[in-house]
Amino acid sequence: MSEFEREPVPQSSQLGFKSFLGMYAGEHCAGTELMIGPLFVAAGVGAFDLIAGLFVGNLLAVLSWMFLTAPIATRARLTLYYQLERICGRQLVTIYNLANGVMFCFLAGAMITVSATAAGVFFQFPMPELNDVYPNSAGWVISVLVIGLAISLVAALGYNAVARFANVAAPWMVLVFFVFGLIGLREFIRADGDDLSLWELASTKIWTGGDPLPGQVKFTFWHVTFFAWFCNMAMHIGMSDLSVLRFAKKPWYAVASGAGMYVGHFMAWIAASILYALQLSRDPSNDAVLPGPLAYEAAGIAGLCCVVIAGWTTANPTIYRAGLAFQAVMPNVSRFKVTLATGLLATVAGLFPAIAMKLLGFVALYGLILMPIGAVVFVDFWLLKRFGLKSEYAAHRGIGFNVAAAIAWLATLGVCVGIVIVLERGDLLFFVALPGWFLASVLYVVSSMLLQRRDAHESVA
Amino acid sequence: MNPLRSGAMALSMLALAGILIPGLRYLFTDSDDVQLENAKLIMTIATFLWFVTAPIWMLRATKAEDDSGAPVIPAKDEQTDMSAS
Repeated sequence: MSEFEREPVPQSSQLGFKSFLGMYAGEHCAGTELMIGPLFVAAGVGAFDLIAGLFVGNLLAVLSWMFLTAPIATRARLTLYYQLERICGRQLVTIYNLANGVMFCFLAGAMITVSATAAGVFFQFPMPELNDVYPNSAGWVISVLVIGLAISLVAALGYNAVARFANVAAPWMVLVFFVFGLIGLREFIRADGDDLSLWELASTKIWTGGDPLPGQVKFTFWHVTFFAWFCNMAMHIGMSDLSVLRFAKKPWYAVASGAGMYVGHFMAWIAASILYALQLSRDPSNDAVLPGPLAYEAAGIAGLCCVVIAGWTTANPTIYRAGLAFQAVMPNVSRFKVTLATGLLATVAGLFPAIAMKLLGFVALYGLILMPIGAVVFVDFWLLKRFGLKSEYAAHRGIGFNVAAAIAWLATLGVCVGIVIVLERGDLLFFVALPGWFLASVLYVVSSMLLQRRDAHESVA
Repeated sequence: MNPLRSGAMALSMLALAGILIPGLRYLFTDSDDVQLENAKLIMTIATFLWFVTAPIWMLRATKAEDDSGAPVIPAKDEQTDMSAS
């Protein structure tokens, strides 16, 4: 079947609303949700801050898909990569692919970490603590290596079978996540809350607020809101989902992303956080975020299967994506070899629990790195012509590297990361992307103006 | 729909109920009659039942859609393949 990689999707291949509903609901209920929910509790979040923050943040994410990504996707109907090639030039897209691939590798590493925690339930080896950076036992290393190698091999052989399996697992997995929450809630009621209302139980026993655990950043309403909004920043504001939504008959179909947000990033995060809060209430010294034992405690073998399958089915396509991104840089090496090497890199990353244990910060960084390119696409599509400038400048001039886009991307990144480092405020990572988007937009307009004027002068001369 | 697929679908729905109902029952039953271990056992059986029966109708449904030529969203992963372009 044609994937319309270098041409607009024709009307005959455009899809209805239901296609997007299922895709988004499945894609955003992943293994990493079992890490993110507990990390909110470790960050000392309060009940109102969590519930309201997730509600608002996810709503903003859905609106970003609807009003930033979908209008461009349904007008241009091109993949992000082809659109980027026309705007930025092939060489800059290659650098973008490299950055994307590296981030995918680390993300896949965190998913392998999640799956490996399930092995610890059976083999009883010491598993990483919340603030561990390095692997802490031979059992952990062997477990990550075996799981990582298996996932890498399957990804290298082709991910279609796993993608189909993931589709089969999705409805079951969503319900298991939901049941995690129900069982955790019941355990709290049994222990503490017979005479408490649900809200009193939530705010005084589960998400109590107060200080975060040592080594964690304190989360408020604003942290939760911005995290929920920006954790998929690469996809909406960063425009990755142009490649998907170009198939939508109408731009409003992007509202289907709400299925993913409110199932995966609302219900699943809340359910996973309840399990971790329960663990802390039973033993405050046990602050390890280990999805395997958490899930096993709540739902037995079914819970453990959920951890393995959720981690595996999401790590697999992530490694595949990273492999494709790297292969674009090294087109002469076979996809099998590149994907296998990428999987090995992800496996090595998975050995280090610091990536999974600091997943909130990592996900924010991931979105931040790819965000300026989304701003470039947005400005190029809507604004450049209004300033009397040429859009899709690389295609127009036949150049491989659009300096204006590179300046907008790298200078924005430099300023945003610089602010976080200079102020020594790691939590600002969750907020700098918003002003960063405007900065990238302004930089792209100004640098395009200068570049295009210079080129025009040179042509005249 | 053929009887095999209908039967498999019915069993799959039963499996999903087997995941959800023990959790709900555990939450809403005050007495200690409903033990967590029983709920876990039912969920494990339901999990097994789901993965045995769901592929029979879900994968066939996917294949039928593929064969019919109806458009589907190509995997995002495959669209990143710049080398193919």
